[in-house]
Amino acid sequence: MKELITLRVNGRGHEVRVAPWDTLLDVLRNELGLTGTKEGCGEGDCGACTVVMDGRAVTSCLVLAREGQGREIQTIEGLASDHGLHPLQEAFVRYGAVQCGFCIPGMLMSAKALLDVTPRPTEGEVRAALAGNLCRCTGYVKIVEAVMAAAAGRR
Amino acid sequence: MATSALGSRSPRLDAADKTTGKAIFAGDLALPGLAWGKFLLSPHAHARIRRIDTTRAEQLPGVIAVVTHRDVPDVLVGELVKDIRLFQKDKVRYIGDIVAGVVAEDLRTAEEAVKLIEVDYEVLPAVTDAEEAMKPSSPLIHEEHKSYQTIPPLAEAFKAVQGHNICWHTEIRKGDVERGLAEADHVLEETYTAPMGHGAPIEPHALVASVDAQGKVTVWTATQVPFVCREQVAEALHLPMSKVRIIAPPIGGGFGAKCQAWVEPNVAAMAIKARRPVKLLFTREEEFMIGQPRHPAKVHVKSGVKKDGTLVARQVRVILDTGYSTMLGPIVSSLGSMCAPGTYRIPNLAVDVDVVFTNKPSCSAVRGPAGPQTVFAVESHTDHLAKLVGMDPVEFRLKNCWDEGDEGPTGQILQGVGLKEALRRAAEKAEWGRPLPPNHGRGVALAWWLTLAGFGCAVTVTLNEDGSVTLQTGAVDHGTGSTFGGLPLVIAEELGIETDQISVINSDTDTTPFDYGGVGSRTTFNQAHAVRLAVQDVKRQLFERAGQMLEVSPDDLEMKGGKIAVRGVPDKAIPVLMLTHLAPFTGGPIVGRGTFNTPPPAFDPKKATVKGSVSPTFNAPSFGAQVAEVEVDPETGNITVKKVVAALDVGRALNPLGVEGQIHGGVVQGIGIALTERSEFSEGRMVNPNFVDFKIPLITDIPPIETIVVENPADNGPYGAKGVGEPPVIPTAGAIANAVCAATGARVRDLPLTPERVLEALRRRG
Ligand code: FES
Ligand code: FES
Repeated sequence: MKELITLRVNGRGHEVRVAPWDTLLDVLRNELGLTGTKEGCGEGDCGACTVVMDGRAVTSCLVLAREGQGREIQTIEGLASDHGLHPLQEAFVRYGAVQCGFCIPGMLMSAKALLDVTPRPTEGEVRAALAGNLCRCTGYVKIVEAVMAAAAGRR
Repeated sequence: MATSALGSRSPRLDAADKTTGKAIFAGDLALPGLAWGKFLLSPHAHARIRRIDTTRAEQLPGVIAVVTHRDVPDVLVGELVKDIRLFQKDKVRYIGDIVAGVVAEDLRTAEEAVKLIEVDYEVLPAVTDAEEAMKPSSPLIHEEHKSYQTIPPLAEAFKAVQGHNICWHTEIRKGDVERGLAEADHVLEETYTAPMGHGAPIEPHALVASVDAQGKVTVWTATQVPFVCREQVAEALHLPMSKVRIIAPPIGGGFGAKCQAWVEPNVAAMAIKARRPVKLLFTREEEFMIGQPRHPAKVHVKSGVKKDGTLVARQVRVILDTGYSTMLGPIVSSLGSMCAPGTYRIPNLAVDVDVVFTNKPSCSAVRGPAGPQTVFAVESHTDHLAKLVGMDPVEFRLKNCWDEGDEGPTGQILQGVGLKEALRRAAEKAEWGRPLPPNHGRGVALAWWLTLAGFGCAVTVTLNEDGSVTLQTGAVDHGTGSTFGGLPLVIAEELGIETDQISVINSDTDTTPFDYGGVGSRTTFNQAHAVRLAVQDVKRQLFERAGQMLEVSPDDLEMKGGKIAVRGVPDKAIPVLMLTHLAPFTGGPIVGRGTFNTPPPAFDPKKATVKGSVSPTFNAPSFGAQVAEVEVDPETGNITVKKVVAALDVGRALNPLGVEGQIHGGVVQGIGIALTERSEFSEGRMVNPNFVDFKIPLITDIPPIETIVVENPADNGPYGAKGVGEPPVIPTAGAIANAVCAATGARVRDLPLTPERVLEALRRRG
């Protein structure tokens, strides 16, 4: 029943055998060992599983692995570069936007998808872009601060 | 020496791991031969089990083991009262009670197999309402309650409640409440309710258990209390504690939903029978249906006040619906008895709290347990009292609330009381008194909370050969920042090194010393003391070695600029780095040890009578004041929170970045409690077990939140610090409810403040 597919994740191709019902989230976590992407609900409600697919933030628990074929998928593991942390990551660290950290990979991927298209967002645009990402720890205040700071190039 | 580490806005040491996806949570673990676990949960709220047949499940290809009560010792466990069976045998007591566990090669097979287990139930009448359960005619949820065991300190109080659905009772008597009420100019009596709610961490419960050839069990679990889990696994499975290892990896949020040992023995038993490592992840639905929620509460409060606004008497009666198990009920009840009377001088006081079994999931100690519910009640009530005597709510509170040296509800003499400062500063920042447009209003609420003491901890601080430092601590990291954001600053401060030279190894019962757990806002308070002592031990060892080399007494030495020098003779000095490099070949490695425990303040029985309380005093209490500003749409009843100002007396902010984060997060949870969060039940079944129907605040829902950090040191706090984790969530709902009443004149006495309830209150107001 399983089928061999190729997924491009963080710029590299991976061949994986997937069942028709396997979600992209399952395959990232359990087959590719990319456990930075989290599962908080499996129902599209929490955003912890957010990855960027062809430039758009998507909840990977609602995407079938097979739908990921031929797409460019970016996960939290691909956000930092050889030169170090992405400005968003740096800002999250510096502004104290991280508590338990479980929502953070999803938050960062949603924020990245926003900044790639809208490098200088308003605060309202930041909130709208992160509206699907639940955080139960931070009250979101420092998360908004961090995204705004990263966008403004503040360190 | 860098003396500025404490109080600096320092990023936590684990932040980079958590922003890159490198932090490994329990559910991320993979072990060779890993199998998947799934529980079979009871579909009935109350039923007798006639027969359990696992044959068909066992025959399903891919199933490795099916575990039932037959596979585990026939014992009841529980941290306070032993009333929990790992896998149910004769009876199920709520929808979700664990009946069996399946281990299979993959999750889908485990899920299939669970459906193939045949259980023959005889359905019994269920009791899902606490007040129904309190009636003598109500069926008993634990028929054998009389034979249950408790821990020695609770024995007497337990005896008084044994054999009832009322499974715990706490009371406080101070002065003469009847006389006080008789002497009052006004008496006001009201009833408030708060529903069940969930802490709802974004990470659902996650566990991996594995057994080695010697029979040693290791459980990686998202728990706030690994050492309590070790005890419970050992007790439940008849293993010596040396054969149980609990590791708490980073926890994806706790908020009390993970603050007691629970399913760890179950998953361990499944790994033992399967002889394979087992991973078990709760679905979000399971997390909501059986994960440990906040107690539904009914609060009846009656107060007497003089014409001039002096509070003279208060009577409070609280009913907490605890669900099918006692779990932490006695603690929640005790804390509730201290919060329910409010933060005021009240000479005549009577408080009664009943904790009641029902056929619902077991409630636990969710962030500030019993705090938001009782404070919503008493602070709403306080506004009405102010109105009765024609006083402004802030003025009324300033007249009656505690000052340094006042007596708490049980006669405890209060110390480090920054309450009035918090109130004044919050009111000022919120522009209290400045006119607002129609349908807008401001509300205020006060609260206090303890910093849990009486449960010890130890740490080791190793000074490595290169002068860097490794801290080994049993403290968990559930996000609050104590372990990775606070403790490193203590080391940096005391040793004069940078935090990037420090590494923290934590919460592994085999490799780190005992800590009671990430509960009761206790971690920084207790751990910072222990860490400071351990660093002092390190320094003592350094001074001894330097003293020998310099041929002077260690007492004549001081540490300065990376050197240990003879006082007054700066030339006669040895670099610390030389001592550390030589350490393995001289006195051996330099390992400092710090142990800390302090009892809570003594309770004086001459001041009050207290029964059934594990916390008749509050250690190093924090004091908070919050002001909320809201707009209410009179057409729809919709409430928009425009702003929250939150002032909290934390004693001393060791890391202000972390303190602010705790306040922000607490306030936002408080907004959820006030406006939307409610776990709804129909015949014992939770009907909204998902994030769409149990609505927690989104990033688009939150108003500006302004924090005010008040620093009135606690005498026994490390550098004066008090607990910060729980307090910020407690006053918010009360402040919002008062703001709604100020905006509209309508009082809603039931949480959450839904639009329907607001409209209904508006209609009542006329
Ligand atoms: S896990 Fe995908 S949205 Fe929650
Ligand atoms: S940091 Fe814990 S859920 Fe966001």
